[in-house]
Amino acid sequence: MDLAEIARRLELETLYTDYAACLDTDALERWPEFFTEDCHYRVTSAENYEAGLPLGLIYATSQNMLRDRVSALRDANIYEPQRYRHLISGIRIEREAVGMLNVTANFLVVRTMQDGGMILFAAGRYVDRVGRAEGGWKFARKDVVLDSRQIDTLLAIPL
Amino acid sequence: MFGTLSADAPPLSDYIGNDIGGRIGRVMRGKPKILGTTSQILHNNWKLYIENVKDTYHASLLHTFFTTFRISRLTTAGGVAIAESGAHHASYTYGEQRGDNATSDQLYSEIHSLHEDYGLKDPRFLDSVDEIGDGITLQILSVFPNFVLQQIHNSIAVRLVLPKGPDETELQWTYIGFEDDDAVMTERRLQQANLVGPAGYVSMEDGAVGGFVQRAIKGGEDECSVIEMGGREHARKRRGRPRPQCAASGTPGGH
Repeated sequence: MDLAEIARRLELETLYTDYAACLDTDALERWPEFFTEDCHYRVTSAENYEAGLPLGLIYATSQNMLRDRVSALRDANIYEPQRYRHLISGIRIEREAVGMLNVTANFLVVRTMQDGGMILFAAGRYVDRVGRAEGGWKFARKDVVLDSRQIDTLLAIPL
Repeated sequence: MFGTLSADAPPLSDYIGNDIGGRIGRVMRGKPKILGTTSQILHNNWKLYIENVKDTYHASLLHTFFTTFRISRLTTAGGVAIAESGAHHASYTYGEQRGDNATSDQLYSEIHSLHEDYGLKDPRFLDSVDEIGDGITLQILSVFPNFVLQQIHNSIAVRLVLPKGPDETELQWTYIGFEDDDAVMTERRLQQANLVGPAGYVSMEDGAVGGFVQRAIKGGEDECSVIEMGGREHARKRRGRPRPQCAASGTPGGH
């Protein structure tokens, strides 16, 4: 592994670490900034993904749709105060193209409610396409593929 | 698929009835194509979810997405159909309005704060067409005991309500389109699926609210309350008598 490759891996590591920190510290207004303007973002289950079914529990085809999601969470939707803790590991470059990488990564999300109740809310993998942008990498596409088809109560904060 | 173990059950079409059957038919007008599935665990008794589906009052109070972003208004026309048996229902809303926007804003400002100039940055996901041609943009239909069919704009889904115990319910969602949908229509349905499901702009609250009620009633099994549809003040004026007292505890009703 040459130095450029090591640097690239560190950059990807930083991307995912920052992404998790953004969601876990309730800095949701920054969340769309991790994506390109014409990004695709989708939360789905492994069952749907493997069957080639296109449904997304959250389905966005632009960065502004992600901004709308955050506005709705802040000002329209009603849900109990809660926080996530993302553990992201196993970042893996699956395929390389010019200026683009197909990357997968595993995630676990623990959700803690205001009364202290804590559950393993989500496990799965990100199936991503990232492109180099100013000051790092951005997601051009992110499929959040959940191992389980079940969502406990509701999915408000993005994954 | 509907099934029964009873030999005495009436034929399905008789059980559902013509009115509700017709309203299923207006949505299921072609060969369905599954777009995807999901399931939601609700921490409440299954009947609370069914009551939520049938109740038309809570939508404008709890689901504030449409009104916050001024996509639909309180002055929109609609109605509720109830099967002759009383077992099944369909509530529906028309896209067109009765009344003006100012009246709607005024009505709604008493319920929820409205943001001036608040809108979606990318409203493409709400690009909908009147595919059925009758102007109804929203229809929520239930067949007793546990079948729900939803049409919200062009998002069509079947919800199956599965009891998992006294205080847990699994809600299984199957999102569909039709075999003759073109790519644009399929994309439209996928975009509008954002409105419903566990992460739905309009329906996510339904995942939590049943749990709130379940928790609240646990501590008050001997209490009772009275809800007067149309509002307490309205009912008092109409009847010209004081509000009812709770027989069991003597506390005022209507809470």
